[in-house]
Amino acid sequence: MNAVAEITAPFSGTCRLHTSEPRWPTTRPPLDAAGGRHLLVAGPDLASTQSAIAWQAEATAASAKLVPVLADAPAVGASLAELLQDAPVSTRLLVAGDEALIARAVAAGLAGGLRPPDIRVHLTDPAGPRPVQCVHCRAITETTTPVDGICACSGCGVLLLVFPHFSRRIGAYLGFHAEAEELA
Amino acid sequence: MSTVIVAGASAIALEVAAIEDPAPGVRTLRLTPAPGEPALTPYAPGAHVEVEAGDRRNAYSLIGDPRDTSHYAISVLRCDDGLGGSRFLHEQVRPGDRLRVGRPKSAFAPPAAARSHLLVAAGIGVTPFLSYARAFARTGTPYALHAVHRLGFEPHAGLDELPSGRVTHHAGRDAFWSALPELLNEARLGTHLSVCGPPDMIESVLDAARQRGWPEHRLHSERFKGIEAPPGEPFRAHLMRAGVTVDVPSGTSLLDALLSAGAQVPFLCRQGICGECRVGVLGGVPDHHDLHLSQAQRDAGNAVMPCVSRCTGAELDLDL
Repeated sequence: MNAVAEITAPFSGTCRLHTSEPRWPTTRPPLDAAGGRHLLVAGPDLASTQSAIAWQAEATAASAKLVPVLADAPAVGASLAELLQDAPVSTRLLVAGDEALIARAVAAGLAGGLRPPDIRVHLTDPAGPRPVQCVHCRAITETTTPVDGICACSGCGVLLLVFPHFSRRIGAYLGFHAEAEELA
Repeated sequence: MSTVIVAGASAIALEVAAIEDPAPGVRTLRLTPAPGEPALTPYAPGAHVEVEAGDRRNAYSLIGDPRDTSHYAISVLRCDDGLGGSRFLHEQVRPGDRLRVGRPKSAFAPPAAARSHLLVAAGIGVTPFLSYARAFARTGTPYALHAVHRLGFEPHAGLDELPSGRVTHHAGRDAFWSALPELLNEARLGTHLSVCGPPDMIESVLDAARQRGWPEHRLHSERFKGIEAPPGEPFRAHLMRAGVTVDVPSGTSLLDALLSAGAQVPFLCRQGICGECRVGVLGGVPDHHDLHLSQAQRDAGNAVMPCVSRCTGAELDLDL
């Protein structure tokens, strides 16, 4: 991507030098060997499974416990919230998968008391789905539409512009009515 | 900096309103603004003030409610083998006397990300946590304070004013060490550990936490005792802006050599803790002994704490 394209979004007035868009690592980071109990969230794809196996080996070598969280993206938040309740301070979070899974797992981890240094992430499918929250009905839509593209909201059906803003708390990009100005 | 700072440029005169001896060897001074002096300000929990004590300037934690601006209170442990500041406050100060006191400085505020706090204090190290406890009581923040006392010593007064169930007393370090593993294992996610006391105690507690999987960002400490500077090899310091060269003999600190050569260097603790005497380095390799600079700041090699640090070579170029 050339410098101009990086800075200027397709629609006018949006500066991309300072962006909240996450840059998830696309290579697997090692687990934090100081941790005592690692919660593992991994997608069903081959690359995520390979990361999970590698992390399991690292946990065994470090005499740490690895707890698989069996859930798909929509349910991962609730599963993690339950596991993080009454979790010890030695808890860490490992996530491998697409952005839909990562965004929700990280948001649930932070809500459950983890801090960013406690979380290690591997984005295995950069072209995979990402979560977009509709500002009108609050539903979260998983879509492969890229940032600045337009997708239909799974909640209210409105056509959403996937805006270059990512909420770490909610774990989703911000989406709003693509024709909001014309309607007003 | 062009002047020698005396308890901070904004120091004010406070009147000793009351004196109490809450525990053997500990004197609590209640300080109120002298007539005509500016009002007191609230402070961050864990903040300290610098107090002019005879010819010394010592830092003491404020032990009151951080929002209570009617008075400041400090607790002074008498150190007979110290440099004389605490002896002065114990022996010379009477009710009605005035002391020059700097504005509160926050160097040990409670971590904002914490959902609950595990506080460990050894001896007089309990003082910063007294203001923590009063702030937490207001916000409803959960905390557990573990106060370790030397055998035969009484706990600091004021602890009994805190809500029951928050404070656990440990008589002697052995009793504490046997209780610590369970405290660390039982703490729930979101808990932060803060430790205050002698350096060896702090390191041992933090190491125990690390071994039990506590991440570094949940560990916090404040040291009450600095390090003693090694005598070191003689070297020369070049004051590049002044165009002066100062010889620093073995056994003399760089700070003392600079001060006796007439350089204007602000300083406070002389123990490598406070960072007040930081001087820029333009050339040469500092031999760091302080506790103030981080590893990254040490690696940058562009600053030195002259109170305890020296020079690895023969010459050091300073931004003075």
